[in-house]
Amino acid sequence: MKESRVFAKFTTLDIVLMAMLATLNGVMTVYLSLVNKTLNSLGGPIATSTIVGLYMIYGLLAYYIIRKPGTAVIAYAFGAVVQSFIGSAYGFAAIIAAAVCYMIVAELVFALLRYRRWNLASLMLAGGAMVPLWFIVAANMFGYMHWGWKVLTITLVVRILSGIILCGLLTKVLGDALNRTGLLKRFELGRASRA
Amino acid sequence: MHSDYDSGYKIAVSLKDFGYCYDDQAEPALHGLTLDIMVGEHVAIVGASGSGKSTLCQLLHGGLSRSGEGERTGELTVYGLDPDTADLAAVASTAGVVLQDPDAQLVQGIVEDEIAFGPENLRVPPAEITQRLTAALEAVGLAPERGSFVRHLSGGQRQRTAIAAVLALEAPLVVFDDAAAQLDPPAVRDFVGLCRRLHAAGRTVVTASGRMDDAARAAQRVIVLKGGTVLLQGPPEMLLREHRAQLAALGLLPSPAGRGDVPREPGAKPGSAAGRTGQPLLEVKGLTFTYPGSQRAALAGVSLALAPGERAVLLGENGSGKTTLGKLLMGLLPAPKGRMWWEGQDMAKLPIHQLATGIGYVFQQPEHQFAAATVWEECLYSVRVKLGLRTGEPIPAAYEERAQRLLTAARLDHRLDASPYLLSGGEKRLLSVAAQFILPKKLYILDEPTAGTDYEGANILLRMCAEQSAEGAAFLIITHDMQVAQSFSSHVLRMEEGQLYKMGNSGIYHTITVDKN
Amino acid sequence: MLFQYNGGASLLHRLGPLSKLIWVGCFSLLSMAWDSTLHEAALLAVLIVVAWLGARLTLVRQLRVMSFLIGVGIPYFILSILAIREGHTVMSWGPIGITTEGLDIAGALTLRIFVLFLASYIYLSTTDPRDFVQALNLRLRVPYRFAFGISVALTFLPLLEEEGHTIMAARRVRGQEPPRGLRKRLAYWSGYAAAVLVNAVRRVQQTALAMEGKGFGAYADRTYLRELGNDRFGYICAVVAVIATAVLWWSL
Ligand SMILES: Nc1ncnc2c1ncn2[C@@H]1O[C@H](COP(=O)(O)OP(=O)(O)OP(=O)(O)O)[C@@H](O)[C@H]1O
Ligand SMILES: Nc1ncnc2c1ncn2[C@@H]1O[C@H](COP(=O)(O)OP(=O)(O)OP(=O)(O)O)[C@@H](O)[C@H]1O
Ligand SMILES: [Mg+2]
Ligand SMILES: [Mg+2]
Repeated sequence: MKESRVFAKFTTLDIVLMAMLATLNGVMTVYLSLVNKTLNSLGGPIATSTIVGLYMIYGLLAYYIIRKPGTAVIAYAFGAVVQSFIGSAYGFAAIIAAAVCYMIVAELVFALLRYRRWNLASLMLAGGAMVPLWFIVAANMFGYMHWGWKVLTITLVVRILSGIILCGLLTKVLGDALNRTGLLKRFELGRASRA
Repeated sequence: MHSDYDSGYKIAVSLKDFGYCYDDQAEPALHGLTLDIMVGEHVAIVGASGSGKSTLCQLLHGGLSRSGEGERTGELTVYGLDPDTADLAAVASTAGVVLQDPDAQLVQGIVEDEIAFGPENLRVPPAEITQRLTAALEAVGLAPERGSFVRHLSGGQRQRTAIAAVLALEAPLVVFDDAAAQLDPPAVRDFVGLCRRLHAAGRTVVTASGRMDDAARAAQRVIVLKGGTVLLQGPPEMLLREHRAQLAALGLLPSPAGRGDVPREPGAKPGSAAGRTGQPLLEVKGLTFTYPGSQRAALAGVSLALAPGERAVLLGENGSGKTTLGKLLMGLLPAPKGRMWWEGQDMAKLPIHQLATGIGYVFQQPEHQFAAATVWEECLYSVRVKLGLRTGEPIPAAYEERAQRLLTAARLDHRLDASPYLLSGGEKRLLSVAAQFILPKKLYILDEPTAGTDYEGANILLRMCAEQSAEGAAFLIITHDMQVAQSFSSHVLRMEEGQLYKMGNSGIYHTITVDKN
Repeated sequence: MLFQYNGGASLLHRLGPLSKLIWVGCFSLLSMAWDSTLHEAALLAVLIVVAWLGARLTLVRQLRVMSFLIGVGIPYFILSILAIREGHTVMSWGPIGITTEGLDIAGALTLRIFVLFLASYIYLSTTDPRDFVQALNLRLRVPYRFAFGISVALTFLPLLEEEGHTIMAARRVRGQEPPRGLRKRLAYWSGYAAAVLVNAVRRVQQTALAMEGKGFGAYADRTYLRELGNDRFGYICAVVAVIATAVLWWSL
């Protein structure tokens, strides 16, 4: 039962950090579900779309801090399992499907950037790019398809913007703020910023 | 049994001109350490707060170096291996280290999982893990809590769990960093017995503490650290005979002079102020409390009255409900109605921040208390809150002066800009108490304020308390430290399985009944 | 809505974590394959019975946990009715029209939310996360360091909540009042969130070091004190579920 080369690179510290971020995400989704309900009754699917970026932030933040290929796969897998075990309004199927979509896109984006570019633009790109795939899958799963093209397009645009800002931009802000506390010295983010 | 741990090495721990300096620290925490600990030896490291004991202990299993927070110089080998470069399997199977802060080392949710965690990682067969688990639980008296959630345990019970988890590793070198600080006196005796037994079984045992306590006296050799380097070493009887004054000066022995500083008479005679106003400061009648989801009542009918200026000390076994009582009095647990009164008002109706103007509270775990980024700001936190000042805005000079005085008394004046989390165990404790004294209160509830401090630290603390007491403040001090009880209290209470007794002079306990007048 | 596993001895509690997962998968697949109210209602009814008899979840408890979905379900139902224009019109109000097909599909979509939720709820209330972790490691061959990340995360969950309370308490004890006014509230809560986050990252350091101190990751494998029993019955159930799903999928 040997770990593959990619996974062997992750230290215990990396794993625990990803676990912690997944937990924080689990707690956050519980509180967000209240916000979601309010938004839903105020403005339906378009209003709830404004905050979708927050649901993806933990994985991107983990990637920004750890910067090893495969981070998204592990972080989003942890996130999915944690959410499954604390219960989510959407059920396992949706949670797992969403996590898989995010993993694929995030890994692709950072592989294309060769794991070298970690500026705001790349994070915003990743944040925005993670949205569409899951949107298509969710549309089939929950029958958004019936809403008509106009609503769908607006929803998609709002979601992408949310991904760019609430996931991409916020990752940069949070990651850098955490780095300033000196607690991330042993992660790639801490090392890179000291170099 | 000796042969079980006979690994062919003669020297268990060897340090050569060893030093360690934390990042951003001008002075190294350890320097110029040259010493050998033999295989099978029982060694006690003692030293005042901040002398580098925990730093040394954490280096023995490579934890500190792996955390990458500082720089190491010189040579260190543990059973022939450098813990920094050796692989994890080798390190974990040679050295088991019980850290000072139990919360920092409990990683699984449930007691038995926690204890089994180490052996499982080291691929011990399940049948043997079962044996080790039973033995470890037995050794620390935790068998009844086997299936409990760690987060539902009392401070002392967590410390026991941490000890048991390391015992189950069955490593040839066992290190206890102030691991008995929060244990009740019978458990401390058991702990000393445990060290003796491990030693007799051929293991290398290292204990660290800020006092020449029973655990240190049980050792074959005592190493006295001062300022990060070895000051004295030798058999405990020899040190006590030849260097008694020096040890006392370091705060490692109770100094008779130090204790004398604490005025015995409280500022206000117990009952006198109450007699005047006809009203106790704090009154509790028939208080019961059960944690949500728990089967057992943590408090089973507690009654108590405290008059202004009174100094009560609360003793009792680990898990008997002392902290629970303290938290209820501070409003940190949901208070039942019509059971507790603060100056005649039902406490269930008073919000915490309002209670906090009258009551000062110090948590059992100092880390729980910290709310600011530096020692200086931590001390002034309540002042800022009270005056509505944000960080950066200037503080009235009178408060700054007081903070300066308190921090100097607590020997923290050289660490004002450090993060409270990066202090040593004893320093954290003193800071958490000093920060409560910045604003005068009518009652102070201190939960084990002297655990893990050296005698000097305990004296400083009691002097601070005495000063407040002279101004008329009442105290409820929860402690396992009999010396605190003797030198400070006007009366001693004792908690037993959720019931409160008053300890009479004759040693006979009887239930406190509250006068109905 | 933090649900937690708390033990039990029902039939479903005794099934293995992986075979039960296959059940959840089957129910979810069928629910997503079908698009009619009747089919979804039938699925939901089956699930309720399974939960009741198989997992000993009383109807009252099931209702209570599902009640919190109603807030999501009803707006969703209305929206879907309005969005779907195909089929025979039952009612119309100017631009708004309700069709039979709209009703059918909206009903199906809304019930689907309940089906997906209840299937997952049954799973998480009958599965010990420790068993799940062990099954991941031993049966699915996920390296244990990663499988344990999950157990670490689930251990953190109540701990974070507790520490959140403690951080709040520490501030109250120092005289901090609950904030009033939007500006103050915002400042207070963002300060609080920052404290929780920083504290969480500090925990990461501590936990990782403590785990390594106890040999975590020392070898590629590890032993387990509580070993999973064999789950032959579970596998039989899973195979039955898969066959039944396939049959239903093709036939309906
Ligand atoms: N993580 C850290 N970063 C910076 N300085 C530290 C850190 N930990 C401890 N120190 C400092 O290093 C010195 C030695 O600390 P250490 O914890 O080893 O003391 P100790 O002997 O264990 O004291 P105590 O009896 O109070 O636990 C102290 O001055 C302390 O403030
Ligand atoms: N959050 C909790 N949930 C459930 N039970 C708890 C919780 N906290 C404490 N307990 C239980 O309540 C009892 C009393 O705990 P408490 O912390 O008051 O003990 P204590 O007297 O302060 O002990 P120590 O000397 O070890 O600090 C213990 O049996 C403990 O296991
Ligand atoms: Mg220490
Ligand atoms: Mg306590």
